Amino acid sequence: MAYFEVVKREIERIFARPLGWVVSLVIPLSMCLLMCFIFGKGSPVDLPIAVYNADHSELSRLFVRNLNTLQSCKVKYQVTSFKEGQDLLTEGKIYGFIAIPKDFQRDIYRLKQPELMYYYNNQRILIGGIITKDVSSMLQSMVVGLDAKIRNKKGMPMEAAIAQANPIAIVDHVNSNPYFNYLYFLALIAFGHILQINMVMISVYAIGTEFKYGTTKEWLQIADNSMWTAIWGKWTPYMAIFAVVFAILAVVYFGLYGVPFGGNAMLAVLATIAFMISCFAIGIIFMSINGNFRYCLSNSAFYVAMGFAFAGITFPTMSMPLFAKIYGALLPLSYWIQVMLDQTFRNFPIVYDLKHFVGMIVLAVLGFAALIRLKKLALDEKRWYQS
Amino acid sequence: MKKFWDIIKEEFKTFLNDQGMLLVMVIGVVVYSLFYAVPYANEVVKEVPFGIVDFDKTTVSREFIRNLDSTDYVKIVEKVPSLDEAQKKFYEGKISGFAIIPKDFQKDIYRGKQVDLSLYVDSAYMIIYKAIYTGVMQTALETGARIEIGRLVKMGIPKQTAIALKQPFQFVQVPLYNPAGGYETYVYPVILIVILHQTLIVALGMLQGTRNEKKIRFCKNDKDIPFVLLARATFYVLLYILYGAFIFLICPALCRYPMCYNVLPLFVLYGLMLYSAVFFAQVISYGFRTRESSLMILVVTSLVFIFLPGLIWPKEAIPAAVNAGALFIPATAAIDGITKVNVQGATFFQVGFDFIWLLLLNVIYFVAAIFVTKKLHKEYER
Repeated sequence: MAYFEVVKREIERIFARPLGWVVSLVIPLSMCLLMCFIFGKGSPVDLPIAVYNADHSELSRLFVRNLNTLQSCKVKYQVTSFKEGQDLLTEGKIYGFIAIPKDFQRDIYRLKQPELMYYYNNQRILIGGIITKDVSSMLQSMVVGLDAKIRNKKGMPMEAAIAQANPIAIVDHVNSNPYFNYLYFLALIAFGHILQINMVMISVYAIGTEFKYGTTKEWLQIADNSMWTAIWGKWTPYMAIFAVVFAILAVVYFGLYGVPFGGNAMLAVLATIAFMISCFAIGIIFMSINGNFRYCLSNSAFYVAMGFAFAGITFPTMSMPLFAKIYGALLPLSYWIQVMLDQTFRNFPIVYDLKHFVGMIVLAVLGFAALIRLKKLALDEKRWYQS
Repeated sequence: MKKFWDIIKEEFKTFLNDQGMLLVMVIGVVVYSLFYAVPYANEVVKEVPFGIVDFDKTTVSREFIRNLDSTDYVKIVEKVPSLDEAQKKFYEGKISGFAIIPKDFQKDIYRGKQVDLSLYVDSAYMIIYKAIYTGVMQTALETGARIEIGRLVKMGIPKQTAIALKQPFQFVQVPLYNPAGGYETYVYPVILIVILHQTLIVALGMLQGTRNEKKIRFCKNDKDIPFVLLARATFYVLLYILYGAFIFLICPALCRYPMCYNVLPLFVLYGLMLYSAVFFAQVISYGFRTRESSLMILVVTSLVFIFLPGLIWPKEAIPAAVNAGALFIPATAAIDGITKVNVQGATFFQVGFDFIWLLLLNVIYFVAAIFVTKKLHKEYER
């Protein structure tokens, strides 16, 4: 059968030139695993901060002790001057710096509302945000505790005292990613981004090298002049390699790192297949620009390189300007990642995810439509050996 | 010296005649550095669509909803009658979260009984979660405090004292370097350096990949390699210094990210990074057997290079071995120092380590590049 002949020929081509399997197996797998190592801890702990305690009272010491019980940060430096703390911040040795003023405790009892100063490096939003959230909720509970203690001393039962000190309590029903684990979230999008780049580029490469080395006619002949057979035969070995990569990543992500999966596994697999096909199909669109391998490869690289930012995960789509929304809609990654997040963390009913499949299918159909032009180019010997 | 200048001019011609290099080193730099900012142009996530299920429908609950809606963080777009209904709107993507105000909300608060406000948020998106949580938390605290102060005043305590009782001290938060907490300001300084580094090594990898493919020698005599390498490197460094001048000196005025204009230490670090990147590119080009190899292999590394320097994700949470490895990639080694100088206003002495390390990287990669080039020459002759 012609299809199997094309598959066989493609496998031989892969063995003849290492770039094919380096880009479909070695690079994506090593990059994805490296991302896992980087985010392996899930959420940062013991981020260094400094305290300048000018008060030295019972209360300020309690405060420093409480700071050290926080998960996210650790008082690494107890500085003796304001300047010292600021220098540490500038040098990047600490992320936050808290200054407790002189007479802090005394002023509180005199109801003078002293100021507790907290400086933090907000250029690093993520780090600043994590520490600030922890420190302020610790302070909040200290205040409530203080308040409740005063009421309790005045003869109010402790339970009522706490209730009155903090009338509205928030019960947080976090139904997705309850562990605030950045690995769960960022590794998934990183996998998608890395594989999207490699799948689009490998498709361009597999087709483009036929033009580069002037073998398009031979390729079509083996496929009985059917572009459809030719393209699927060509893709099959690479898709098999990517399937292995996806499988290994699934084992690492759900198995080794223990990310909980709550949704429909079948749907996630189907979405991954649709993602793969639409990425490969986009390769056809790029190669059918003019059949010049280098030119088309550079263009495809442009298209996928910024996927991470435009897929709307690190920064939500709804807050993006229109141009970014349109670009995002043209990336298969935007749809795949939605299905994966919905099924992995949010336990979404399947119905709500079907619309994302439409996006990937539309992109794939556009790619297959470009086969008509690709065939014309493939039969045109002038398109060969272009540089 | 004249010869040195001639090589630079020659390299300029090579560069102008190479469409692929022009695409990466000119169009690539411009397009990426402008377009990467586009998704983040609105900087902060504001007015997140939010739903409310109000089972109480009293003055206090309505006041709470009004106050919540008036914060910058959330915008109440749906008031729904039931939990199921809210869940449905959430699935449809119309809201990113919702809160449930229980029955007897007002009555319980006045009776001095703690009420539970249920909050359902999609935390798969951290940024959205943070916005909603901050908005709801702030509103709950403020509403609670106002009721509490009112009660104390009724008991005959002066208002000022009541406020001080509720809030014994002021917690003054001073966000430095990025006061508005903008996302662009957060990621851009890192991304810009990675873009410059990646376009540089991809284009040079293409150039050497072509030489490898066609077996064209780097230069005639092996003993000239160090001299020619240094001269050619100088051309690319000068080109990228031009980009640097635009990005570090002009862009901050046009865009919004903060830069300290600490010009001398900034450009010393940047220049050292560029030289080491050129030598680094020559070293890794050993593996690029065709012109397209560098593009296919390197494009995907950019993402890792963005996270490796430990600015977006803290170094403290990255395994030590990975941090050590990151020091050997020019961009990830230099970003830390450059940001300290440029964003945090560090002086030259405060980045002493970064400076010495980059010098060392230059020596390592310069020597390695000479070695690799000689080895390639031998392979061409085979």
